[in-house]
Amino acid sequence: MSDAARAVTRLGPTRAAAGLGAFVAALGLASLFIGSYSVPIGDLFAALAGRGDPAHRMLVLELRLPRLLFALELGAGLAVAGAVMQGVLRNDLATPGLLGVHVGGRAAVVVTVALAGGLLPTLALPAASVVGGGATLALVLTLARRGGTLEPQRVILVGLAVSMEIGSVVSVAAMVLPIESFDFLAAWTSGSLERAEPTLLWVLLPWLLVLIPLLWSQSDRLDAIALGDELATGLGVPLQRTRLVLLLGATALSAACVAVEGGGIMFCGLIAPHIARRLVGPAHRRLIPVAMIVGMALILTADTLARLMPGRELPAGTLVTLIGGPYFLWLMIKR
Amino acid sequence: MSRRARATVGLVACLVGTALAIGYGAKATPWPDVLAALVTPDLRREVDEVLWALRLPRVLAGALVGAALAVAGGVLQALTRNPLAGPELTGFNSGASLAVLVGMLLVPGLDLSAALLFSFGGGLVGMTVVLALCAAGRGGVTPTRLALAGLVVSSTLAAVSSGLINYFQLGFESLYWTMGGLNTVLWSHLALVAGVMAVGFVLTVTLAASLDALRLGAELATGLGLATRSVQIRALVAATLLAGAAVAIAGPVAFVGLMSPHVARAITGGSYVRVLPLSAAIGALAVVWADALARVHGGGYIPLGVFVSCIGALGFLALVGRAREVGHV
Repeated sequence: MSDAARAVTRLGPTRAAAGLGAFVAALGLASLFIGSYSVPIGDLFAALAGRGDPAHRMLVLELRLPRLLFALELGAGLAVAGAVMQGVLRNDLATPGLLGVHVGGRAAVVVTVALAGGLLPTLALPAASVVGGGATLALVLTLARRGGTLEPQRVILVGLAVSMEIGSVVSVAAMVLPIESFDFLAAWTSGSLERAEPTLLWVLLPWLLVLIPLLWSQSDRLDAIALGDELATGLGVPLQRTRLVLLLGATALSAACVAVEGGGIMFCGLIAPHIARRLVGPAHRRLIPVAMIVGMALILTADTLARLMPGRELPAGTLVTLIGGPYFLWLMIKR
Repeated sequence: MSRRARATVGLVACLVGTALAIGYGAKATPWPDVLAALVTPDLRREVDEVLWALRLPRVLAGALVGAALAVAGGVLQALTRNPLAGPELTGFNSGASLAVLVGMLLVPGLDLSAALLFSFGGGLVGMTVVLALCAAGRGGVTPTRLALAGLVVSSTLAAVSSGLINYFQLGFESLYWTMGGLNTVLWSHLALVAGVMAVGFVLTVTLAASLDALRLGAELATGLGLATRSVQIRALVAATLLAGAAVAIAGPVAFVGLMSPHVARAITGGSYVRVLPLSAAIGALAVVWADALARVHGGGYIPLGVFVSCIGALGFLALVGRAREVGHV
């Protein structure tokens, strides 16, 4: 791309963020009265204010609003995790989902639930997911390393192979579960946002509030890492420790999302940072927040479209894959 | 043991192992009863009825599907000179199964012979897409790129399938479209599929020695006096008939086509004349037992492909570990 073209495609960061923010707000509002049953706009505002028809109030406040917030939380978490993972591995195909974090986190949650049953509060599930996701990522990176380097496409391939192995073992192991748990597992891992309960929103929120600012505060170090190991060391970045912290942070962020959503949305962490990079360029201080808003917009769009589909509702994760899969292939060819 | 002896022992062991699945069912049946039912069938007896109407067609279908996928995998590996080629990673399986699904939605009550045509066509389109994607970028068709493109194309096509399944509110049979299964096999299906596969197997037998030459590379093969173009086309036809028929009846079962030839090569090494029959037997063993586990323990919920993947994905991981970027078969 020439400099002129770059100047055109890259908006100022403030304008990009403002535009995206307005889009998310408008879509969010729309998603409150779009659905199999549409709420008149007057009733919508009355319901939001806690007044009006009780049936509408229930629909808006207890079904649609949690679901909207769920989409925003997941989009933010998955997108920031993807942006950081791509930066720290210097691999624009990388995302926690493709590197096994999602399936590993899911496996750990299933095992925890199977062993502890109802004894464990939902609050503990993200912790289990983070342990499983982190262990899987460590395994993938170890297996993919060859001669001290991580070849980008190879890492993804190993990540997918490990994911398939763990995924099929979890499916087979799930046979011992009683039928209700089995049905729950199938719904949980499908990538649908139907199960947006207020508890889940609260469980995920602290992870986002701690990890996103933490990762954002490391923007300068991510920029330094992008320059290569030698330059980064020259700039005074303690490489080993920084990498570990960033990988752990990104893993924890996406694994916490997996704990509430099931790990069925694989490509959000891939697409959102790429769109953000096109909008505001590669500097992480701007990239991370913009990627976060793009992720919110992406999941919200996917979930709203999924609800509008005729027939049975399509999981949002499936729609994200329909966009993300071809996009990944295009990225792969381009290099 | 010589390579030939190892191939023979392996072949016999796999075939015996495959046949043992006939005696394995949800309800324990003593072997004398099973043998009696096979030799002197009396359909008024419950054991015989279950065996002939349900278990036998499934075991035979599993054996055919496994053998066909394995041979197709071996042929595709020679054809593309790529150790990670196979009907699953070249996009054939997912293209074929999506096409059959589309066919069934377009033509209600689509019969199996028409489904076969959709399967062949869809498989070829899927394979063309994946190979073209790999060839389009710089670096050409390396094993890693092929596998990556194959996996991502497969998951995208699977998303299209689940979109269709949702839209048309298909029920439980949808498992078949995502992971493969033999839940609905009938004797009448079996005859047609076996006929198509037989053509593929015979074609492959006539090609086995030429495939050895082809693995050396097209130029060298031509130098050795091989009609390279003609061999390539016949090999593609054989792989299409075999994998297409397998997907039409069992859905996109992964890893059998990819892994069986590698296991066979590890046992007997070298020539396709020995590798292909042995990989067919290994593929049959894998699918028949995965399906036996699925029908006995899966409760209809866990498709046979999941059982195959438990071991298959490990093998795939090992292959990825060994594959060099410039490596060939």
